[in-house]
Amino acid sequence: MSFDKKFITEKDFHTIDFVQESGWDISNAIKNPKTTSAVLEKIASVPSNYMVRTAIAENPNVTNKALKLVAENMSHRWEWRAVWNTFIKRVTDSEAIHDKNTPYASFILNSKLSNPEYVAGYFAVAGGAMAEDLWHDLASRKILELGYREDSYDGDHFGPLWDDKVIEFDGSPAEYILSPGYFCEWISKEQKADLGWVSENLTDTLSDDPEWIIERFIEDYSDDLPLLFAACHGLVNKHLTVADSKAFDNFVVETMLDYDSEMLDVEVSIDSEPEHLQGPRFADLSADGIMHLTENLLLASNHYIPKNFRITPHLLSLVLLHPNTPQEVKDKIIAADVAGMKSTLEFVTSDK
Amino acid sequence: MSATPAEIANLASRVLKAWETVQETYDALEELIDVDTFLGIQYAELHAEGTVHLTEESKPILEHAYETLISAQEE
Repeated sequence: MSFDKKFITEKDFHTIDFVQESGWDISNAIKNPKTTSAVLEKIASVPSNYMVRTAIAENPNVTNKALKLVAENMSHRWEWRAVWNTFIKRVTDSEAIHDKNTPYASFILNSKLSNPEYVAGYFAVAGGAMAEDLWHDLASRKILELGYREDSYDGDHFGPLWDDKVIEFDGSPAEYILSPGYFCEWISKEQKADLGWVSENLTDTLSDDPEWIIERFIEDYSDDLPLLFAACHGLVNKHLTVADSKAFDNFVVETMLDYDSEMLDVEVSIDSEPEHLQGPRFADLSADGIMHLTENLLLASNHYIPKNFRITPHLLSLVLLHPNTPQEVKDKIIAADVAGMKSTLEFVTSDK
Repeated sequence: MSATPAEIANLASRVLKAWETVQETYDALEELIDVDTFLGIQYAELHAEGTVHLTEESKPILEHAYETLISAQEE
C-alpha cells in the first residue's frame, strides 16, 4: 500500500499504518502545515523512524508535547537539527533571551531561577559559548584533551573528543549543538599520519581494486598517490622499511591531503584566546556565582531540550572538572547524579 | 636464496632503468603492468628517492617487474 495524500488527517491515522510506511512521501505529508497539531501528537506518540520524527519537528504546528516526544526518541542528526531549530526559533521569538557570545549573564550568576523553560532557553543559546570557555580553560590547564576530526559528511568534529575516560561527548547531540567545529578560531591544527592505519587502509584498497591505481600510475608517472599505495603495501607486507621517517611522514601527509585528508589525524593546539566571548570567563567567577550557575544548570537539566541534547550533562561535567569549582558545588553536582555524566562522575569520585 | 642489500639495490636500479625504456617505447602499458610489476617499479622509485630500504622479501616482486619489463623491451 502506498501513501499518496498531501497531508495527514485523524482518519488517515486510524486507517493507515503509515508509520510503518517509512519514506519521503509520508515525511512530506507530515511536514505539510495542513497536518494538525493533534495528528502530529498522535504520530509522535507511536514508534517511528527518524525521517518521520524529523518531519514532525519541522511542521510549524508541532506542539511542545510532540516536540518533547520526538526529542526523547531522536537518534539521527536530522532530528537533532529539526528539533533544535524549532526550539531555538520559539525561544528567540518569544523574548530576547540572551547574547550567544556571553557565556555567563549576570542573572544566571546572581540567583537561582525558577522557570525551567526559560533557563533551558538560556543554556540553549549560551551553552556553546560556555563550552568554548571551559574547553579553552581546562585544556590550557591540561585537565582536558581537545581533539579534531575532519568529516565532510557530518561536518568537522571538535571538542574533548579523545579523552573518553573523562567526558562523554564525541558523536553526541551535545557535540552537534555546542561545538563550533571548523569555525573555532582559537586553535591551530596540524595533520599527522597514523602510518599503520593509513597503510592498512590503502593496502586493502589496492587489494580490492588494483586496476584504478595502476591506470592512474600509467596516466601520470609523476602522480604520488600510486607511489603511496605501493609504499603502504610494501610496509604492510614487509617488502620495505622506512629509511627517513620525517621525509616519509611528509610524503604521506602531503599525498593524503590531496587524496583523502579525513584519513589523517589532526593535532590541535590552543594558539589564542576565544576573543569572541563577552563578559566574565568561568575562571573569573566567584564561589557564589559558580553555585548559582550550577543550580541553574541543574534546573535546566530537567527540561527535555538540554536533557535530551545532553547539553547540561556536558556543561555540568566541565564545571565539575574545573579546579575553581568549590567542593560544596562539586558535591551538589555529584549528588544530583544527572544522566549522561557517568564517565565524569566515575573519574571525579575515583580521584578523591 | 637470500640476497644482500647490495643485490636488492642493484635489482631495483635495473627495474627502474628497464621501466624508463619501456614507458618511452611500449604502447600498451595498461596490458603490460600487473600489480606486482607496478609494485616493483614503485619500490624501485622509492628506493631511488632514499625514503625506504628494500628488504629481502621484496626480491620476488622486483624480479617479476624486471622480467616483465625486459620481455616488453624484447618484443
